[in-house]
Amino acid sequence: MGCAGSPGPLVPGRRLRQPQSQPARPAPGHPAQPAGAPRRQGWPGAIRQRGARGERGCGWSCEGGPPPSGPASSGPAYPASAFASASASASASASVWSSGGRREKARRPRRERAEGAGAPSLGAGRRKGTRRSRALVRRRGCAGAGARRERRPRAEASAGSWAMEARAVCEILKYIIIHWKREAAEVSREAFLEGELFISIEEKSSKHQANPFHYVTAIAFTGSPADDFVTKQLLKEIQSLLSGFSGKLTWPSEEARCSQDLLASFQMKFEVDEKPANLMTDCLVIKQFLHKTSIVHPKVRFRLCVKVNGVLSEDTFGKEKEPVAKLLNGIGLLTNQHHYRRQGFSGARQVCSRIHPVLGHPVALVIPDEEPAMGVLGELTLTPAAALCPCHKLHPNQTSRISTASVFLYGPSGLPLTFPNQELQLTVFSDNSYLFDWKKYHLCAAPNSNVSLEEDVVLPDVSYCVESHDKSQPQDSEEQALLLFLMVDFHSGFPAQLSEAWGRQSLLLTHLNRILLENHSLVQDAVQGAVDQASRQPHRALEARQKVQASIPVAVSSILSVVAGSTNSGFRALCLQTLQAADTQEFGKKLHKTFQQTVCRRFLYPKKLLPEPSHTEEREDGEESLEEPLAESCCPGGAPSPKKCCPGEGLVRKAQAAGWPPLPGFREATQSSMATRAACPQAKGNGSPETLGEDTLWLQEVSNLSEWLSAGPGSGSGP
Amino acid sequence: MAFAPMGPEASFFRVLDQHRVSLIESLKEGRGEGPRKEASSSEVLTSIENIIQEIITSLARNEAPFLTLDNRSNWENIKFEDSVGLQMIHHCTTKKIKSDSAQSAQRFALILKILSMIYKLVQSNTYATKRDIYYTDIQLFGNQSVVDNIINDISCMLKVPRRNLHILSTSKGLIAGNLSYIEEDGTKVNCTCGSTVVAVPSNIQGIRNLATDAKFLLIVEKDATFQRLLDDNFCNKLSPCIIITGKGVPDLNTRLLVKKLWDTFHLPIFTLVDADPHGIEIMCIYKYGSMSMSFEAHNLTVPTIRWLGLLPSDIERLNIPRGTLIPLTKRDQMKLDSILKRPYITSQPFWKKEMEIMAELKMKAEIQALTFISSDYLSRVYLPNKLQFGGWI
Repeated sequence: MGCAGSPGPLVPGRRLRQPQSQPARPAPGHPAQPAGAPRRQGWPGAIRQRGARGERGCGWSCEGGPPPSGPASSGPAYPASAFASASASASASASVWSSGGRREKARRPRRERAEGAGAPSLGAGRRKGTRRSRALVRRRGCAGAGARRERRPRAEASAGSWAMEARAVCEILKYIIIHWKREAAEVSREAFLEGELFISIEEKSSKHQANPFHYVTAIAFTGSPADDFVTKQLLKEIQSLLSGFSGKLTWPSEEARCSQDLLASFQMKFEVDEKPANLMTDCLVIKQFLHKTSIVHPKVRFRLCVKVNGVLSEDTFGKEKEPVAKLLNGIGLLTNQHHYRRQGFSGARQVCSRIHPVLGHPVALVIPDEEPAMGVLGELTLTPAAALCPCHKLHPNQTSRISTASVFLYGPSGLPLTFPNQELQLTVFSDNSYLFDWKKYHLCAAPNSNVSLEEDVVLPDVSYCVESHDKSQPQDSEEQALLLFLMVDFHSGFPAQLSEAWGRQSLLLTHLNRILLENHSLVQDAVQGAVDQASRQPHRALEARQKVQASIPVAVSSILSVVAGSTNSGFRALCLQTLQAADTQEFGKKLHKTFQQTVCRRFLYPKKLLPEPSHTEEREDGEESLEEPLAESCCPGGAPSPKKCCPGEGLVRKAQAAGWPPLPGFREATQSSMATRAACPQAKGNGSPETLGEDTLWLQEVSNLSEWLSAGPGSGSGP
Repeated sequence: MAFAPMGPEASFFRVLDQHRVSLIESLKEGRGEGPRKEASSSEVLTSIENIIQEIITSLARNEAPFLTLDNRSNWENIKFEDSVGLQMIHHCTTKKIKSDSAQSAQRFALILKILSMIYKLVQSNTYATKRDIYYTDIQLFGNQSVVDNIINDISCMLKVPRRNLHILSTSKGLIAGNLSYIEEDGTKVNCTCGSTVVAVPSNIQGIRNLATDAKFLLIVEKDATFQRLLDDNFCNKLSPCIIITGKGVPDLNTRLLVKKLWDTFHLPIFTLVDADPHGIEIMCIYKYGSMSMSFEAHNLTVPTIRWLGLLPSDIERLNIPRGTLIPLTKRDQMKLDSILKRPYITSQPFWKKEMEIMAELKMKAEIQALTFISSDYLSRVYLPNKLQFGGWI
């Protein structure tokens, strides 16, 4: 049984530009980031430095155990990266199940090799012979053995040296969201989660701290109210969850929590010693995790504040009143395309600012008999949703071609199944045609390696570069990305316990590869259905363009035939004069050229600029009003209005009232956010060219429809 | 007429003659608007040149050219006049056929293509059928109905009858009875010759020297019934008369001939159609015209046409066996409902009543249902009785 989060032997579709995931090389001279990678403003230069892999273990302060003497610096028989990962894996397994002494023992390479050898691995043998694959197999095997012993999923197992603390923070967040989702489901399964989650990472370098790079991660969230018992229980569970990670989890005392009723549902701190370079990676990983989670939980606001060297950096995900497409079971999808594509991707031309996901049919996945570890009663379903980005509905005649395909994988509760920066364990996706029948669209795909953690867009789990073999594709076709969201979920008639729900996440990732392999045709059919529907518009655009192109020579030759054959000298002279042609031959050439240019330009960029809609009042209702219909929606032009209350304000009040010190960086972040809003009181909306364009789109659609309806032959009978 | 077979006694036609007198009297009240003036060849050529000139001017201004067509398929553009039938209103809505729209670019090109062909036909004073045009480029046109529709659109756009565009349609109609005429090429035609039938000529405007003593003209919906009447020697038994069939939905030439016979002789004209919505629809086309050809109503409709049979009320009256009736389908029902909503039905209360009977019965009957009474019941009893005693509505 593979461990959750362990990298698979094959890396389909993507290779993250993440230095820590590479085998250890001499640190000096190696660039901290890839050349040209975007850098965040306000981050201290120190955290951009890249730390050597072996330097990590120095600050272990996990409760109940002394800092381990990490073997990462030794182990000459294996690549450093593999060794570090494997050792972390072994450490993680042991730390949960046994005492600290045993954990130390478990880190020995021999033990690790023994576990790896005896564990089943899915598709592990495919790259035998390379040092890397050997390490990966061992890692997976190790966790599998651990899981068999306890029959309990181990999310923390096999965490590599990269982003270790980020993993811990993400695990906490996942646990909170699962708990939260469970509670919300008791009221309504279809309602979106609502609340706010605040994560603050602050450097605490003081003379009292032994390690100069000590960071405190504070997590607070307001969601459903919980009683003391539940809160305490939950915190304890989270603590046990983190026993495999370094760092120390603390939470406010009961007195502090009970002193005020305005208290965040949960608050906790996670302290860790970390190299600045690793911290940077951690922050990027956490940021990506939050971004990826936020796009399917549209009513949850995630705020990430990082304060290092006195410089505050803030990211907020799940801004209010973003347009949402409702998918299923309380899962939505933010449809602003900036989540999925770099700004300015297709030039300054007016484009629809949203994506229009098409929800495919859910398919029940057959769990293979030889997967007894699943042991979960219920139905495992996969629901695809596909969209093209950017949307070309404002220019319905613009032909486009799919240049990339990105797959976003979500598990139950709308949580990412994989972590950013983690090599994907799902080897099925290494088969480029597992999900898509590229041939159907005259396309071919190859893994896309151009994916960086530092992007401001949500990183896909799998990404493909796509090329077209279609010769009829016009040269000026614009590039589009195919976005595919795969929602995997369990459905049973009974509400799951928290531990059960938590376990499913890990179990799912462990077994999903095999399940997907077994259900290949079902999955491909479901995906293909959604993709077909999503790509209908570009397909129509191509057909339309071909029709127009084909009609031009017919029209030109007909006009030429009349002009050339006319015996009316006045008419002929006027025609030649109009096109400034000396003779019929030149007239023919000019006619063809002018016709081609004029018609094609007007076809691609219709001149219909319609007046701004008169009703532009702000919406006072909640986010529901911005829910968009799925598929074929035509960019409703409603604009979000700025929220009256400042985001995060409530949380500050609550924290202060509770006697807890304000969360690090929270006040600054809030003030900064308020300042931004004050400076820009009108959110992008009604007056923006994008929104106008969306209205134009709608009116044009209606106009085209009426034209289409009236274009047909007479419905009257008889000649 | 040179040869006139013996028919019934003169008293047999007394009611028919009275009907004819009343029709002629009603004519004196006058029609709203006379037939459209025939367009000369040079006018047609100029019209086409103007269209081409406009397109070239649009292109010179960097504007995608378009054609403006009257919207023939919209009831809002149709008005009903008792004396004419369905006709297009003067300021009707139009539709743009754009050259830069995927929905209409192909149609735009095809209209220009056919316009250029018409231009050549008119220039060279030659004629072609719609089928000829279709066969010039089967792949381009796709199917015959595309060509037919475009020709009608052009005719409507240029306000020129199809004949003046030098486009003919192949005639499918047949005619028999007391009629003779000379075709444009000088061919003498006599339709009186026994059981032989004559095809409706393709150039109706060109026929001359029409001569007949007929007391009435009977339009028969179906060819099978038409042939049966010929076999039963109906034309001789009820001589002098003319029978004509358009073999279902009539073609333009058959309609033109009926119109010409009415305009020339003011004969009482009757229809013999199936007692079903489709039969009523065909009768309405002869009488009031169709929506799609409403721009040509003045040349095509004959509002004096009467419904002789088979009436839905005849089913009960003649006690036609139930087994010979056919249940109305959903499509029939929809068609019936649609006819009942048409503007001319309000001026035809008896028709409306007959259609309501059909709707109530939920059954339809073909003319052949009468053969279950007797094999020659139609020609020997049904039609003579109706004609003698005025059994039309």
